[in-house]
Amino acid sequence: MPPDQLSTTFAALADPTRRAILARLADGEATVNELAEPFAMSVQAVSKHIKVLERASLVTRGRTAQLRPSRLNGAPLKNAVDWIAQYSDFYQATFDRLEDHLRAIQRKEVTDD
Amino acid sequence: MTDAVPNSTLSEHRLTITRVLDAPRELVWSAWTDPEQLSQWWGPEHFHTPEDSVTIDLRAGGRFALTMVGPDGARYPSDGTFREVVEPERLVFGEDETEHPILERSETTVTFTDIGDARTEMRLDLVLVCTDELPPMAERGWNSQFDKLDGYLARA
Repeated sequence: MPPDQLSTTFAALADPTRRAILARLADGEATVNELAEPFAMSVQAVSKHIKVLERASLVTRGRTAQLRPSRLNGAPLKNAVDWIAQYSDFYQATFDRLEDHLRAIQRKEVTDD
Repeated sequence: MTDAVPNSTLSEHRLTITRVLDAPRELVWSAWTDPEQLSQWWGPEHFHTPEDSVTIDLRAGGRFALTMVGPDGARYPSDGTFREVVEPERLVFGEDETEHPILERSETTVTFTDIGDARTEMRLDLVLVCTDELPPMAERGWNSQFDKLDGYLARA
């Protein structure tokens, strides 16, 4: 996942309304009207939030139906969740190479002696 | 996108990795602090770190910089400042991620312990300071949502 995609994901998630929308969509697809229901804001405002989520590929919308129901796309969200785990992966892989390096350099020292 | 990440509460997230290395502590220390040696191993498999990209001013307050090159040639520069340099037992360095949209800063402490038989225990403690808004880290209200998400991903 390119870093800018990750930034887009996080920026989209950095809003309580949008997170609530995603939580609602985790239960199944919903129309803008249904999504707007629990919020004290206009359908237009909720629609704007959905567009942000759509741009971040967190939400896909039906193309055919008049109401264009929104659906959660979990992949970018999973990548965001995995983000901190990347640090662990990075260091584990790097330390494998450190071990190789230390072995090589010690073999070299033995040969040089 | 106009929706910037709000400057909300910052919180710390920690990661610890411990490894026993089959090498004396002084050697592990120089592998971390000598640019020529660091360039031999820094970065994951299929990445390399050109020696000429590595600068290390090894003292508290000194700067370091290096660039990893990925298998596709993409360059990943990073730089930061040493907070503590206690040869050969502890190295503390920080990176300021002002350009990063979510990560405020990171601090890494590497502790080297001589455990005898020419072996060294290396412990890495990473502290990431990020905005509280971040769903992977934010605990408030997210656990139940992640349970649902897990269910969703399992079905997807």
